[in-house]
Amino acid sequence: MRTQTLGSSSEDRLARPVPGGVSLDTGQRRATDRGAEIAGWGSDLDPTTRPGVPRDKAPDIGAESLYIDVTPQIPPHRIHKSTEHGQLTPVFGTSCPPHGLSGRLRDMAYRYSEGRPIRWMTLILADRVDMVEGVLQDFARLRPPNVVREMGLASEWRYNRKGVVKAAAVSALIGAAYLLLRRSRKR
Amino acid sequence: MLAMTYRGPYRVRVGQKPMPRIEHPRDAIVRVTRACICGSDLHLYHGLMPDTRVGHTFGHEFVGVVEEVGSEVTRAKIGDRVLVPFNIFCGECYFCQKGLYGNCHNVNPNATAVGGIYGYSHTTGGYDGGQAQFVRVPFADTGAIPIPEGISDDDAVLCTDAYPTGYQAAEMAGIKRGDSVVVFGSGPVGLFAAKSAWFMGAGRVLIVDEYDYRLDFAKKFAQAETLNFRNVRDIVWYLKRSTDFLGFDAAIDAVGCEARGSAMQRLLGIHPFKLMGGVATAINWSIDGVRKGGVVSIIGAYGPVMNSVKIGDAMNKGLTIRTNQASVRRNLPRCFEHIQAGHIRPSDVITHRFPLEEISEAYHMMASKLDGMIKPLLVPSNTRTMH
Repeated sequence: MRTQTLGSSSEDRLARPVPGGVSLDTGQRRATDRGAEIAGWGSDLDPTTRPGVPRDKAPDIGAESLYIDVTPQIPPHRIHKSTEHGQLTPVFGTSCPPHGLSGRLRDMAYRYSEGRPIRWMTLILADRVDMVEGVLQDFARLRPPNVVREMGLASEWRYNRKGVVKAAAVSALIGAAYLLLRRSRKR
Repeated sequence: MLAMTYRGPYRVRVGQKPMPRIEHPRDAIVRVTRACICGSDLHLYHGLMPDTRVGHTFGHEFVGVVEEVGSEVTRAKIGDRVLVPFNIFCGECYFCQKGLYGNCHNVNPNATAVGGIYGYSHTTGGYDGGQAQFVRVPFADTGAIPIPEGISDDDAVLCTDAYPTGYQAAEMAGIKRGDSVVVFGSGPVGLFAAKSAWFMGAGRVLIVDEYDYRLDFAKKFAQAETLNFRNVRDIVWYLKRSTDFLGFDAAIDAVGCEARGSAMQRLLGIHPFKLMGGVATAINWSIDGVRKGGVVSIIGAYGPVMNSVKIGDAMNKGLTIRTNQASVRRNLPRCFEHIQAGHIRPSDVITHRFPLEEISEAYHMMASKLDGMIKPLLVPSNTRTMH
């Protein structure tokens, strides 16, 4: 293994051998055949066997089929459409209709093109508002969310007990330090 | 029916939802028999993808049985055992004709920059996903693909996304005989990309990650060299040194927007600020780690906002940057051939199985990399059918 010794601030590292060796020379590259060690090696060496070659399977088609002519889906509720679309797509998802304040925020966001950061930031804000609305809805239905269960924290206890104990100990220490600090300030 | 529902960052639960129904004459309803959690589902789980609504059902990797078809469906038949590519696509539009099924223009009203994806927020069309007992499949004649005889449900569910996506990552890297390839990320997509790089004639494949258990798995599954980037002070120097200062011929980013390795990127892109579409560390290492004139293939998922990418280095080095969501339908026939020839068994990456009811734990374990998890499989308790 060759090492570099001059002009490097990483000299200590450079002196250490790196597994994996060096680049192949021309002859080695041309002779590469790892078929004996690796199942399927080289079976797609010929680019014509690769489904993505050529990338564009219909290079000469025009824009007439941008929107296809099919029966349009009937919107059951308000569907948000990007301003960069020429029309509502004939098919769309209908999960989670917009509602409440988060829905209003989403309406606002979709007024901007996909090139505007405000569109995306408003949507993230709407997501957080939606989360709060979801919690309130759970309480209104007298089914408060079981956050521990929803976060799957039982698995943390099962598979990372040491980490949980450590985190609990650190939190307890920080809490105790905070309380002591407060008490000493009161005095 | 039972379905996973999103409640907010880091919170999901299983609850009752109305059965999906035929909403368009080309729809089908599929009873889910297997579903997976994908690494990119974690971006939703962590609240990083804009317009992820409370109540949404995730899941873009699933297989099942056709239960009902719309009046204009001609090929898909009730009772067919099908795999459903994660892309939703019409199969007829400008982009589908080009073979770019992941870029279909007729299925996602919410954005033009991305096609339709099952269970992946309203930014990708607002479709409920397959982490449920039943799911609506639009354009079923093209979007519900019969599973060939001899391919198990466990292998098939990996063919809905992870395997064809990894295959396309390698294909986009333009690999030639003897090429050196560095793959960032040893999750399922990275593993399949590394495997596929060998199919395309690579001479050397190096997988980079930060979890030793994943790298150990990668060594066995993909017969690749491995590197834990935490063990080197300067990853780019390491990559250059290990190629005799030439640089790798190609790099594959199979990590996406939650990469580790740069505190500044994570500060600005994830916590506490979400000013960028995630963390571009794997892209930047790819740009710096390949040789001049090399290829960077980006298959990791990023958010729609801007990223801090070293585009100046990419330009100065004359790199080719190839990207896209995988066009699963296009890649599938070749992927099936590799399975049938015994070159690869995708289900080998499945490390855990959960009933749908335990999905919260499955998400937490995957996000926290507990118990050596690589790929969790969900099995809905679907003993009953709709009829």
